[in-house]
This record gives sequence, structure tokens and C-alpha cells, in this order.
Amino acid sequence: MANSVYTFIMSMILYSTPLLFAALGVLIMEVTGTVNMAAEGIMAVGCYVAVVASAHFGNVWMGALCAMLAAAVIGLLFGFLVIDLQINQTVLGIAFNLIGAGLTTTLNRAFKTDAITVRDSFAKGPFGLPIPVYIGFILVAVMWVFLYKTHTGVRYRSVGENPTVVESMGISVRRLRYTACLWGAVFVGFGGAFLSTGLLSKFTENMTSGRGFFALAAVTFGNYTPLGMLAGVFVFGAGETLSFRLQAGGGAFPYEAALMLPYALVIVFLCIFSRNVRDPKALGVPYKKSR
Amino acid sequence: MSFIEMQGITKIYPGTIACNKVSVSFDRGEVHTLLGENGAGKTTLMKVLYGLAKPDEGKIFVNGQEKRIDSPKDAIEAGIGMVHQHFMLIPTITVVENVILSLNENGLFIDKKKVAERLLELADRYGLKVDPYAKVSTLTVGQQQRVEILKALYRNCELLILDEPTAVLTPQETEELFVAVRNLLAEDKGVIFISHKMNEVMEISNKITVLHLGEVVGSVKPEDTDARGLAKMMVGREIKFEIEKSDKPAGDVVLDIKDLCAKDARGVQTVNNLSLSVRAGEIYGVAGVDGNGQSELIKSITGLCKCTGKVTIGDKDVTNAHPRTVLDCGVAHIPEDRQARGMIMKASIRDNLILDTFYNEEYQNGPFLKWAKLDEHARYIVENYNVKTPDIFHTGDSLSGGNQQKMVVGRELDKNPKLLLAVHPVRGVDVGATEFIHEQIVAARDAGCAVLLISTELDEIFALSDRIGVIYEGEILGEMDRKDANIENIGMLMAGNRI
Amino acid sequence: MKLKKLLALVLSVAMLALCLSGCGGETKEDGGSADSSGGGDASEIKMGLLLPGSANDGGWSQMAADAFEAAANEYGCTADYTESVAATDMETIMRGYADNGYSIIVSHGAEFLDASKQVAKDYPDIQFINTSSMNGMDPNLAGIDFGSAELGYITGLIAGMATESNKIGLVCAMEGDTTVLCNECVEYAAKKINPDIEVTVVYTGSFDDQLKAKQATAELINNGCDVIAMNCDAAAIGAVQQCDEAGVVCVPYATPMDGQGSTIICQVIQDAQLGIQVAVEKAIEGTLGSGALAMGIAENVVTLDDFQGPYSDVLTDDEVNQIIEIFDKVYNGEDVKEVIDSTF
Repeated sequence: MANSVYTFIMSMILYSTPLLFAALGVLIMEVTGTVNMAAEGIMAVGCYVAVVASAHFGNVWMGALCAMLAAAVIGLLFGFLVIDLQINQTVLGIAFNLIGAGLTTTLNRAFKTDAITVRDSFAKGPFGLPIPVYIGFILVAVMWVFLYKTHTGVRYRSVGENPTVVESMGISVRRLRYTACLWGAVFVGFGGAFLSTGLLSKFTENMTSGRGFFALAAVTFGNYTPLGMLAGVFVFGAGETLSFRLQAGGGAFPYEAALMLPYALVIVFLCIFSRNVRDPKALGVPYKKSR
Repeated sequence: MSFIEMQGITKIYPGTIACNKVSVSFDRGEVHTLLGENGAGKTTLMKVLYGLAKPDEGKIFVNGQEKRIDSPKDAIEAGIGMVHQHFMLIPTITVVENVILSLNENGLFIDKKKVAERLLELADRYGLKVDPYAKVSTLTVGQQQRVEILKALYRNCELLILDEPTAVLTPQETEELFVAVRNLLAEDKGVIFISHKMNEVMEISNKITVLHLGEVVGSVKPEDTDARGLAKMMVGREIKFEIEKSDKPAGDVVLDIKDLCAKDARGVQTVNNLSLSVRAGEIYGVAGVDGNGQSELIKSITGLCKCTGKVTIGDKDVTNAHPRTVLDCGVAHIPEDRQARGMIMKASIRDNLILDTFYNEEYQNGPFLKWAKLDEHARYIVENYNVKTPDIFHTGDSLSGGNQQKMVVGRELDKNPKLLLAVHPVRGVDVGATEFIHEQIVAARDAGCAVLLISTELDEIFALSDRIGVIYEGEILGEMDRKDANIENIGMLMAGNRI
Repeated sequence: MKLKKLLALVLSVAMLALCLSGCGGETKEDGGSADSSGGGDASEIKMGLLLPGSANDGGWSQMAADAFEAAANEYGCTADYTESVAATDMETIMRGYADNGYSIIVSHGAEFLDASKQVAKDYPDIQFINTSSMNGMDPNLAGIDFGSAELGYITGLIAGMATESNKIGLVCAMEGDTTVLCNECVEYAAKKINPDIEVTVVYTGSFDDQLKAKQATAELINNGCDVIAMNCDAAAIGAVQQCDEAGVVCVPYATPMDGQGSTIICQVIQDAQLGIQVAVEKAIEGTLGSGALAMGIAENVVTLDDFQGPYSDVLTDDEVNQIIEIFDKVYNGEDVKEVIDSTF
């Protein structure tokens, strides 16, 4: 019994790490008031670039670095479009998802990327989990310290609530939101890299399978706080692990019900906790400097 | 030499000259009031001083030295602090964090303890008590205002701009604010005070500068003038403070409330067995300190919250009736929060004006609306109720507060109601508009409408009412004819003492 | 904000172009080559194909388009296809083909079945084919059975012989008629080897999500399975990888997983493209009847890969020979179930 609880927790933690990174990225953007519907597309690009670069350099860390760079470029482009050109964030996010999926699929077919196998893997830490899993946990803590204990963190939280106030303090709203887009995309990109080269070793089309959207749900679930978000990620991860464990245990557990489990759990928890969820007031609202 | 001197400030917005060659100076140790109607240019002038608007012409001198103020940062450096009418606070973070945000310091980690200590010390010195670790969203409006003042003081502000600070305060909170203002003066700091309320202006000011249509009309000391004189300077004509009413006797009972009980959003019972009745051609004034159940009383009548007891309009029982049913009884409602309940900020003035008439038969053409007729109706109200706007297609939030209120009043009174519910009808409205709105309410009364007036301003209650009831903890504690009422007996009742 | 307007314009034009090219249900003329080698008047036959996706998607739709073209070239027929057919357009497009003299109309995917039935009723002289169904066919509507049963039996034999813990795990994407039939056959064959064997199926719900397949595999291994068979398209890669990491032998079935992991002992491959091609060719020749066209090992639609790799010694040479022997018998026309029943 104790052993099975242990393996359950380990499995849940390991397999929800890509989601955790994506959620970190979504969190930091949404806290500053930018809706990150683009996470799925950025993650797909991260998956793709990580495989190609890891194979090229023979090192998964180099692959992850390249994935983060690619994601950063997309993040800045996204930032330019929503911050400077003030395009509707939701619509643009969906467009970026389509572009992310389309781009990786096209490149994959053109260059036969799915034939590449990444031989290198991330070193393992205590309990036999790959190092990025620990980085994920550390980043949650760092995110908490950042948001609640640093000057920039207070500004981040404020700008998502009321950018006019922040601007009136002589702080650039634009700069805050740009840096959030940059870091947000980098985290999401790393999530993609860890998915394709950390947990797996090949790229296949649509391999992100909606994890970018679940990151969004986890952040809302967690009321835009790092610890709440972590809880959201684990609720989903636990549901998913449980759904396979129930099926693998044999017996007549209906598979439809098992597959529904993670989604059902999230919905149930959202129903219970959503009363307390409060979106940042300026979420999705473009900021116009008045003068 | 004055601390701050503004010379020849001109600011032009497309279509209007907000400030036209305004010169004014502000000194330490005095409360300098800027008085003027909505749109007279007071707020624009202050925006220029605080670096939020760039003047087209003019100079600003600080201690005799010319200084460019391009941003709030420059203003803060010059020792100017501003408390905006709409607070510049982030509700989701704590008081301390808001102060830290405003300091805009560099460095990695915040030091909440250090800031909180200094905050408490300042709070103590100026009598602005507030819990530094409380989330701003949990504070009352008065407390939030204190945080705003503390924010300015924390940054060593020497001249504090208070933009209509009392518009949102209860009388007690206003008193506390004035105590803090006097403490500031004792420390040789200057205050710029913007307000519409004559009695407050007379009470707190050392110097009053009146603006009209973007120009300085003149500066006076309060001991050299009175409310009437100030109002004349402001509006450019005599203002009637007493309103003439016809002495027709009141008619039949229109609104009858018996043993009404209601709970507020938190579930606390705020209306307790309240009974009152209002007759046709009568203004019934409900006096009382804010938060004694006035909101729930109105919501119960209009069908916006559940209640027990009995509410009758005319001879129809409308207890817990649908709001539309209530409206169809000939009820007009000037709600207490006009921006939330009285209008749709982002909708056009036309749309706001037809909100509760567009579904009437006369505006319908099968499934379609007769837009031309609706436009005409809207234009008619705009003209008749002096709503100042270039046209009816501007959004509601483009109007100043006073004009928004005139729009709401116009829409409601144009229905020729049998019963008018007027809640704080002139809150945040300048003298000229106040006079106009009061005249309209009295005109409705003279035409036979029953009026239930709710206000926290005794002046307003006394000026308009035929009968006065005092609400205290959800019940009418005492009721009397206007002629028997005076400040003393009403004040006693408002404080909860039965006579 | 000139830039903003310009960008908005450019983006809208791009969107419009995408919409037109993406959802239009484009019809592509694709005349077959003239060098007809088939029957005398086969070159006058016109065939239409409805695809759910793009004809060069590198997967499901392309498979059918390629098979279709190969058959058309073989007989010199006219072959046209319509890509990215939306559910709302299915019937209209089929009727369009039928009214324009097309005598063979192929639809690719179970989602077309209802529309095919509807249209087939009205055009009794036209041969309809749906590539993804086996049951409930009308006289002029044929389905294709890609040998799902044979696929399952052979996989079951290999897995049954390989297991020592008597626990076999199957990783699949979704529960469909053919998947259920196939998995039942796996279990039947495995239990013939040893009645104590338990077969556990885990569905992941996705043909794309490698990670889910991997996690499902990990859970099966955790639960004592020492042989894993996987059948979920590209996502099966994750399952193979997990077996590789855990050192558990695996048997990919349906989709080949060449070189994806070192613990693969053998693969049972299902070549649906060949199956579709065969069906279309039969239709051209007029020998395709109603009901489901059954194909399998004898038609090379189900093939057996070599037993190889570092882990292939879990099966003894005798066992390998026995499997190959059974496979050959089926190839030569014997019924797979009878062969298995008589052998074990």
C-alpha cells in the first residue's frame, strides 16, 4: 500500500512536470494582465526545437536552451502584437496556437523530424527523477518569493489589476508586460522541451495534446497564485495517473469514465473553489497610455 | 514668495479650452480651495500641476524656481502629492505593498517591516489610523482615502491635492479628514482642496479661488464671503438656496410600507419592521447616516432584493414583485450609485435615455424599433434637462458627473411618475446642477408625484421635504412635519436617541 | 496607428486566404495515366474520394489518397478527390460525384458512414466504399476489414509465449469496433497458450499524445505486466520508449515502430493502404460485393516482421517456428482460428 502510494505520487509529479512549466509561464503572464491562450502553440514549438537542437548538439540542455530561445522570440512577438498593437489577446492566442501546430507539423513533414531520436537525457536527482522536475519545484518557490517579496513582483501583481495606477507611479507598464511575456514564453517553451526530450525522446505531431490549455485552467484554478497553481497542476496530474492506474489494475472499470477522471476532477474542484477565484481586473484589457 | 506658483496655464482639449491662462499660487500652512462647476477646469489644472497633463502654455514655479513637471514623478520630487477622486490603489494587495509600489524603489526585495513602521509613525502624527497589513479591498472608502494621503506623506509631500475628497465620505469620515488636514497645516504643509460642498469649503478653507469656464473668476477669503456669494461667483448668477413649493395639500397615499424587513448582501438584517407612507404631491425625506438600511429599503421597494412585510403602490401590492412590475406602477428611480445602477457607462447617451421606454408600444414597429422616434425622445430629454453634450451618441462616461446625473434625472422624471424614489440625487454634483435637479424634483411634487427622498445631507432634506422621517438601524425612529423639524431634534434621532 | 491598421488588413487577408484554401473542400482533378493495363473499358470509369483531411498530411488521409491513386494508375481510370470535407458537406459532395457519372465513390473514415448509407440508397447502381466500417452494409455499400482479427490472434500468440508473469498489457487509443475485436482475439490466442494469462487494456484517449501512452505503459509495468503490446498510431512511440527504459519486451501491432526501442521482439503490421488499394481495384473490376471486404494475412494486409533485437531470445526457436508456421498456414488460406485451435 505504502509503496503504491509512493509510486503514484512519483508518477504524478514526473508526468505533470511539462504542465507545471507551462502553468508557470501562463501564471506570470496572466498576473500582469495578459491572457496567455498561446501556451499550447508555444509549447509545440518548444517540443519541436528541443528535439532538433538536442539531436544536433547531442545534449538535451542545449536543446532546452534553444527551445527557450525560440519561445522567447515568439513571446516577444506576442507581446508586440498585444501590448503595442493591442490586438485582442484571446483571438491572437488562438491564432498563435494554430500557427504553432501548423508550423511544427509542416517542418516535421518537410524535414522528417519524427525520424530523429534524442539519445541524450537529463541527469537524475534524488528519488530518480530528472533534474528539471526539481527545477520546476524550485521555480514555484522562486515565483512565490518574486511575486510577494520583491519590488518587481509587487509591480507585476499591480499592473494586472490596474495599469493606470502603475503608470502613474512612473513605472512603465509596457516594460513590465513585455518582460512577463518573455519569461512566460520561456517557461512554456521549457515545458515543451522537457516533454519531448526529457520524458520522451521524439517529436510527433500534436504531441502537446492540450497541455497548454490545461495550464491555463490550472492557473485559474489556483486563483493566480503559485501555490494554488501547483495544486491545480497536481489535481490534474493525479486524475490522469489515477485514470491509467484504474485501467491498468484490470477489472471492469469503464475506460470512458477513467479517461474522464482528470477533467471531471478539475471541474469538480473548480466548482468548489471558483467562488474564491478572482481574475486580475485588467486581464485581457489592452492598456492605452493617455496623455 | 509662494511655495508653488502656476502662471498663465492654458490647456486645450479637442473642442474645449479646459484652462485659459490660469494663474494661481499655493502656500504652505494653508488650505487653498478651488471652487467651480463641473467642467470649470479645476481637475485639469491639478492634472497639469501633478504632471498628468501637459499644458499648452504656462509655467510652474516651485519656491520661485521654474520647474518642468512632465510626470507625477517630477511632481513628487517637487513635494506635490495628489489624492485622486478615484483612488490610485491596487485593491488586491496590502496597504504596505501599495505604499511600496508608489515609492518605485529599486533593489530586489521589499522591506515591508520598515515601510510599515514609518507608515504607523506617520499615521500617528497626522491622525490617519490604518492597518498597514490589511488588504486594500477590505478597507472602507474613508480608510482607503487615508492610505492615499499617507502614500503622499510617505514621499515627503509638502503640498497635498485633495480632489473632491468628501464626495464619497460619510459626515463622520469628513470630520476625521478635516482633523487630519488641520494636523497637516500645523506641520506647515499646504493643502489644495477641491469640493462642491459650500459648508465644507467655508469650514476648512483659508483661501478660495473660484474658476468658471476655465478662467479664474477671483480669489476670496472665507471670512469675506458666504455660501451665496461663492455660488454666484461660481455660476455667474444668483443661486436660489430655498426652493419655492406650492402649498397644495397632499393627496392620497401612493406608497405604503408596513413592517418591512430586509437583509443586505452579507445576510445582515438592515431593515427592521420599517413602516412609512408617502402621499401624492408630498416629499417625504428620509434622513439618516449612511448604512442604516437606506439601500435595502429602496431595493425592497423596487424589487431588487427580497423582503418581508408589505409594500403597496397605489392600491397594488408589490411586495417582492418583479422590478418591471414595480416600474409599470409608475415608479421612477434615481438610484444611489448612478454609474452602477442608473446608467450604462459604455453605452451612448441615447441608449441610456431609452433604457426603460424603448419597449413601449409607441416605439415599436413590429419586431423593429422606431429609431428616429427614439432619437427624438432622447434629444428632447437632453435639451429639457440641460445635459451638456455635443450629441446624443457620445458614451455615458464622456459626461461629467453632474451631467450624468441630469441625464438620469431627466430620463426618470420624463415618465411623469406617480412615485419618485430619489436617493442622494445631488451627490457629487455642483451647485448649478444641484439647483436644477432640486427644482425638477419639486416640480414633480407640485405636479402631484409622491417623492421618497433619501439623503445624508440635512440641508437637502430640510430644503425639499414636506415631512421628515429619520432612519436608524433599519427603522423609522421618528417622523415629523418639516415645520417642526430642526437640526437639534433630527440630529438626536440620527444619533439613535428617541425623543 | 497606421501600422496597426495595415497589420490588421494583412492579417485579415491572410486569414481569408487560409479559410478559402483550408475549408473550401477543394476538388482536385487527377486524371489517371493513359497506359491502361486493366480491363478494356476501365479507363472510362470515374472514381471519387472524400478525405477528412489534407491529401498530403503524411498520415491517415494521405494513405487513402495514395492507395486511390495507385489503383487508378493501375487501371487508367479517372480519379478525383475532395480534401478536408466537413460533416455538413459530406452528402452534397457525394451526390455531386454520383450525379456527374462517377461510378465508384470512396469515403475515408467512420464519420462518413451515415452519409454514405443515405446517399447509397438513392444510387443503387453506384459502388460506395467506406474504409472504416465492417458492419451493417447496404448492397451497394462495401466496408473493409483490414484483418483486425488475424492481427489480434498473431499478436496474442507472440505475447502469450513471451510472458512469464502471465500478465500482458495492451496500450490503445480509443475503443472502436475493430480495436475491441482485435483485442478480444489477442486475449483468445494468449489464453490458448496459457489459460492463466491475464490481458489488461489501457486506453489513453489520444492517437497523438506520446506521454499518455508512456504513462499508461508505466502503470501496466508497475502492475506486473512483462509484455506490452501497443496500437495507437504515433503515440505508441511513447509506449515503446517506456518499455525500452524499463527493459520490458514489447510487441507493436498495427502501426510499425521500427527502431523506436530495443525491446521490440517482433511487430505485427497492418497495411491499410494496401487494403484500400485492393478494395478499390476490386471495385474497378466489378468483383467487390456488398458487406465488408475481408482481407488479412493472405492479402499481405497483415504482415509479420522478423523476430530480432536483443530481447528476442525470450522466445525459443521452437516457439518462433511455431508462430511462423501458423502464419504461413493462414497465408495459404487456412482460417486462423481453426489453425490455432488445432495447434494448442
